[in-house]
Amino acid sequence: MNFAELPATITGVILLIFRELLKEKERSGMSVDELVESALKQTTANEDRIKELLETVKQDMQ
Amino acid sequence: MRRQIAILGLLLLTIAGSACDKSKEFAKNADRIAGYVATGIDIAEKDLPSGSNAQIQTLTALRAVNTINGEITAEAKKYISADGKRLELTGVGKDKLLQILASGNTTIQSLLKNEDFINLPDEKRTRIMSTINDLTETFAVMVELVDAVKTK
Repeated sequence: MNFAELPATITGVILLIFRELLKEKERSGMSVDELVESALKQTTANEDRIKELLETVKQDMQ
Repeated sequence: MRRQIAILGLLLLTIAGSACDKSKEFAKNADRIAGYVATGIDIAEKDLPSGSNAQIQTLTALRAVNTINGEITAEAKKYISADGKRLELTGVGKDKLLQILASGNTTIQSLLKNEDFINLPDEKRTRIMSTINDLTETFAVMVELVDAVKTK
């Protein structure tokens, strides 16, 4: 399969699926408290990114 | 495929009936949701026109889902057993988690009805829809898991 010839959307979706599958493998080896800590860490990182993006949009609009 | 995996996961959990399995599935789902939100942010940042209503609305909705998932996870953390292997929920804790989950589901459904989002070009909407569908299914699975966890 030549990925370069696939439309960008399909390539993007395939890459997302691969990423999720790798993460799932990682999750299977983690304990409950490790998973909860991972979720909290990612949640904090998400909040920081969203805040930054919305701030950038706000500044661009001024 | 995710729906089938989620349903299969639920059936396996019902058969196994193990507190550890249900707790781990719950914790995995919390981590999955955080991951899906991160994916949604990637899509909003790269695929949606910068500063557009669609981008702002999507980021705002993702933020709400993220906050709710953070609340669920922080609440669940209080009930982790000493060995880190299972959740030991009380009746009050269970009710609290279910309330937070119901709120999360409402937030996701509101994004699906948002006109700025509905009017996006098919290609962009498809990628976001896939992520939102994953979120919806995962929240539904989490409700089932919390319901099934035995209380102390």
